[in-house]
Amino acid sequence: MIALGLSNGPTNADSLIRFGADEVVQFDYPKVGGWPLLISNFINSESGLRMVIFPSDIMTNALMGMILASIPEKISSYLEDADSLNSDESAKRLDGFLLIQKGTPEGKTRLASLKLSSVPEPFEDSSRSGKVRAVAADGEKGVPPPPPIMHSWSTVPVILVGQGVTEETTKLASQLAQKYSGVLRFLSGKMEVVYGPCIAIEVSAKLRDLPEFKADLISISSKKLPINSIAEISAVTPELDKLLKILVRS
Amino acid sequence: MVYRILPDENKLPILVYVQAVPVSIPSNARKFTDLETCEFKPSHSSKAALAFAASTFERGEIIAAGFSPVLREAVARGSASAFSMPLCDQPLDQFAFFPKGKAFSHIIVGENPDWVFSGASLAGLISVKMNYRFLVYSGPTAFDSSSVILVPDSGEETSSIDVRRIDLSMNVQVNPEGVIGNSIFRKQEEPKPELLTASVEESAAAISRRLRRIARVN
Repeated sequence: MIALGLSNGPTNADSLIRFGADEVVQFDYPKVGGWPLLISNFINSESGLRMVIFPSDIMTNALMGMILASIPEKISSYLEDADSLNSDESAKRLDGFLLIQKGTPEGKTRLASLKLSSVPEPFEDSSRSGKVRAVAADGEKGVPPPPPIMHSWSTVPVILVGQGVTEETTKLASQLAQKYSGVLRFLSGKMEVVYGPCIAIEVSAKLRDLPEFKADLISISSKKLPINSIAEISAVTPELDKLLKILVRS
Repeated sequence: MVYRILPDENKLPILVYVQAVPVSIPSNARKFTDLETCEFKPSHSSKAALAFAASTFERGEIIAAGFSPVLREAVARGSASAFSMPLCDQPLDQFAFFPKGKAFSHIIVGENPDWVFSGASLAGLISVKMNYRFLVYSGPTAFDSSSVILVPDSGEETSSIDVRRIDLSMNVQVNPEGVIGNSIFRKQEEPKPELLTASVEESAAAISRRLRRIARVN
């Protein structure tokens, strides 16, 4: 497994090796062409490269599209926001189904972005060792763009608060949103779709009045509610604020 | 302040890609092409993209491009005309059916995170294939011409269909197109909802474990 990064990037090579890379390739950022050129050239030059995996987000998915457009003849399959990957197929959930793409013809590379919520929490193994390879820029060196400040709405957690909750509950919900880099929303007809993971707090509306939830849904409430039937996990407790305080502080 | 961007002096049209999504996938679907028999609707993000185009390029000619069953609604939502194309499961195949030999001042694509490929992917691909500048809309600004603008979708309410345009939308010429793709479907077991009724501490621990998987701690 090869990890790709920049020679002066934010994550050091040792750390990438401890997370599981056998080799770390560090590029000089080129003045022209940027990431699409770097990765397209790497796919072209690296024989036997079976798959390139990206963390799924709005900018990485755009990058994947640029790479596909640049070297279509080298790409065998293409799937974004995959829930699972193995040596034969990439799969993603779509409305109660798994949509599957198969096939890795010889000499071609699969491109896939992986939904980060579908992989277990990574851990650093300090006993691992690996190689580090530096790749100099072909032309003039450039300055890499800053990390994107915008994330896909499918990765942003939404803390959805029902009507009539206390000030204290709202304050705790806001702290939870801050902790998980999410956004705080109050239930209203204005919210039609929630793409990202959602924590619904005391959301008592009927199912037909709820937004469409496209990702994981957790419900926390003081009594049983209709949303419990569609939430993956529901906690029902009269000590709602105590539970929220533990989540904020844990 | 709301900025109104006027179309280019040479009056090139603006293309909005409208993603069609099935209202529901039939339980016997096995292949992507089995979607041919489904009922379709425009994705929420496409409605957001059309609303963005109609309000930003007020005096521009907007052309909606997408799978035929959703194009009349696109016209009712503000596009002047429609260009039908098949429904594909790969962004490169989808792009192959874009209007050929035509230039656009801007191409607008909604985020569409709930489809096989996202709007981000398609917009990135278009930017390379057509040599357009890739932009992500993040607020009112002036947009360079010859750019592809990706419109993020927060999931909030989009404007309704303009009832004054319904007659126009019914009269628009839409050629029926098919469904193209090699992906396959496998039915997935619906996860059983889990109800936590133990102590507050135990419930919090179970939720924390789940949250560690689905959200990053700041």
